[in-house]
Amino acid sequence: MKSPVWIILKREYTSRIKSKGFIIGTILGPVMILALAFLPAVIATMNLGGPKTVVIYDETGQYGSELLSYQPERTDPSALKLKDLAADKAADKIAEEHAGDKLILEMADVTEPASGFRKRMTDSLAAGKIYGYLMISADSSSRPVLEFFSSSASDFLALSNLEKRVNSLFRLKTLDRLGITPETAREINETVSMKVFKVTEKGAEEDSGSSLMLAFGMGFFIYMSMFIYGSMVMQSAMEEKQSRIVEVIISSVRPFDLLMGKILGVGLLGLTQYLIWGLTAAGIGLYGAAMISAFTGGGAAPGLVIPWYTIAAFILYFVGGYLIFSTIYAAVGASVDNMNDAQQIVTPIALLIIIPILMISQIVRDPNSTLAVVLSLIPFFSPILMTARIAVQVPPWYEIAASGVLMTGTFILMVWLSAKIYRVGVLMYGKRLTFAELYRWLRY
Amino acid sequence: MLKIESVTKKYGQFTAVDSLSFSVDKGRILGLLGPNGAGKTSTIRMIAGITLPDSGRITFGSIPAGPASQMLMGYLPEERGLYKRMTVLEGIQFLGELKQIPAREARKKGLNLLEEFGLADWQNKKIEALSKGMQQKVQILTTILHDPDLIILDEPLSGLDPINAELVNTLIMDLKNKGKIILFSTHRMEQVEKICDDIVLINKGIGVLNGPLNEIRKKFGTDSVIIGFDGDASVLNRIAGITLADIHPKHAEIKLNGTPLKPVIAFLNEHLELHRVERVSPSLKDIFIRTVTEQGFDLEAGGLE
Repeated sequence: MKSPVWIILKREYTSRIKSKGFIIGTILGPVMILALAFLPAVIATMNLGGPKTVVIYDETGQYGSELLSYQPERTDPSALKLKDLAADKAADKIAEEHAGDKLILEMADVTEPASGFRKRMTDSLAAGKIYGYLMISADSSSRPVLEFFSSSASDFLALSNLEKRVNSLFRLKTLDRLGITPETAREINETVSMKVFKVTEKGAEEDSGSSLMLAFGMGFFIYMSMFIYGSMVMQSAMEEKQSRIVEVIISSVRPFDLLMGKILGVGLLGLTQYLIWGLTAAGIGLYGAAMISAFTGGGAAPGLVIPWYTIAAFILYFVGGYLIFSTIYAAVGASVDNMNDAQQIVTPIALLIIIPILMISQIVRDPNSTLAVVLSLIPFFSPILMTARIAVQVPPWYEIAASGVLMTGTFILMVWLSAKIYRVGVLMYGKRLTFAELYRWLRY
Repeated sequence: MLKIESVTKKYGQFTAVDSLSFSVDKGRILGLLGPNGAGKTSTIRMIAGITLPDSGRITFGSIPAGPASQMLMGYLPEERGLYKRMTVLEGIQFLGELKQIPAREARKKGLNLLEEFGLADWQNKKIEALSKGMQQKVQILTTILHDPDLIILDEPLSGLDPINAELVNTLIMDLKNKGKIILFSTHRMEQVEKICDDIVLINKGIGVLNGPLNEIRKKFGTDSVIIGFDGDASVLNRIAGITLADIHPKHAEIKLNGTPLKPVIAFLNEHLELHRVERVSPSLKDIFIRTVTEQGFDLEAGGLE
């Protein structure tokens, strides 16, 4: 005899993995996450709106012309490259190429009175002919004073570049005045860095903050999974109720089997999705490392070596957390017949997932504090907090064991409660659900 | 044989089914009747092994209602549906597998039944693409896919057009002839009158009448006469042995109580000018109402048709 749980699981898994939703979600999920992470930065670097002209009025006569031709000596790959167009274009024009956009610097004739220049520029600004104008004067101690006027001084990238350039030029001049050669200056500027080591039982290992990143990353991953797969289970249970197939099903299998089959089927789907993402990420990671080392001129990419026990902990706590929360979500899905009612019941459950993610930075900063120990032992918080603790510093074995026992116990309790609610809930229609009502169901 | 023995089911304070007893033999169709909310669905769910009675016993052959009896049973609930995004054949296969039919066999049997129901062209279409009537046929088909010995149909004809309703009626008769037990629940009495062998009438969870339909008919049977007349109605009081069920100036219903009809008619003809005499068999609805009132229960016939 084939186990009913297996039949339910199989349908839940195969019908979902073939669905458009799964395929789109699997492809778009990472794209969305990457987009959320990088899109603002990408958009900020895109200067939409063509070349921008900035007119420089230099009262001091010391900076302006040099500013046009000055190229900062130490450039990193992201720094701007200046291109002297003086030769083939107007004599005092220089174009700055950046992300396909140009910032055009123009020198103003200082024989013209400042007030007249300002008035003229104000008109140009209003006519949209220029992006802005820069006034350079000197204060009493002959330090340059920079004032930039624009109708929309919001292109912070261009502005900070301009400012940086004036600054380094000013510093160079100061060094020159003090008789310090650029070589000496460079020596003064040199910094030393401190390496951070993490001391474990196996000795000291270098840790470049990766374990902290790992703690946050894994915590966030579990957090997302609880929500995504939890609500998937909830929706599945609700759909069966809405489509009214559930009564036919439970005339063949026990509600408990239906509950378990559903939870395991969706869980397996989640693991499949993670496997796809994991392999893709590993592929991209290898490619990305090559890209980074190409950029940094052969320097090794910042390696993120994840110890095996951290991966094991992640998988175990992910599975444990999923089992606990999806069981709760399934019970909710079975007891409501529309999304509105579901939202109300789901909110307090969602809090159980949100609280640990709010606590995570506190926990990783001091992973062995009483607060950290206590919170990470609460079965609903363990998936996120214990994983995070293991990533930064492996807690004593008995704490891990205790959380394992507590989570298992909670899971069994949740299954017992949910099965009871499920049994009654799937046949209940048109009742506005309250917690008091749920409590009554437990006694049916 | 399906046997229900003093079964009671309570939901909180509410008693949905109150010590109900009846039984059905092989090859018979039992109509479970009652107004909406009488406890029909609660009874059926216990027979289907979905809920457990608080007290009493339900047995199918020698097996108590539960997981084992579920495999021998096909259940079409009143509120029914299918997975909308699965194809017809996939859906049939899944429900067949739940009844422990191997996947391939379930598909084969499903295909045969689809052909029989004229739905073979739809086998690979998504269920949501089917009309409501077609979906209902698919549901009925999945109910009998595993060749169950007990078939429970809760309002099977609701939502079907007359042609499809006839098709389902034929199917039910076929199943009966194959020796299956069929439990047929409805609040529409005329459907029962057409096909049922036995009936159980329930009101407010209590079984008020139960037995073979023809015996019940006989009992309530053709013992009434409706007359239309002109003349003095008071002469009706002079006939011995009868009861006046319903009396108006020109219309009366007479319960004969076993008194031969002929002399009564002769007497009436003598004193009144008769223009209508009709011997009536009470409809199931009348029987139901009469039984419930005679037994002193509150009648809750809101949903009775």
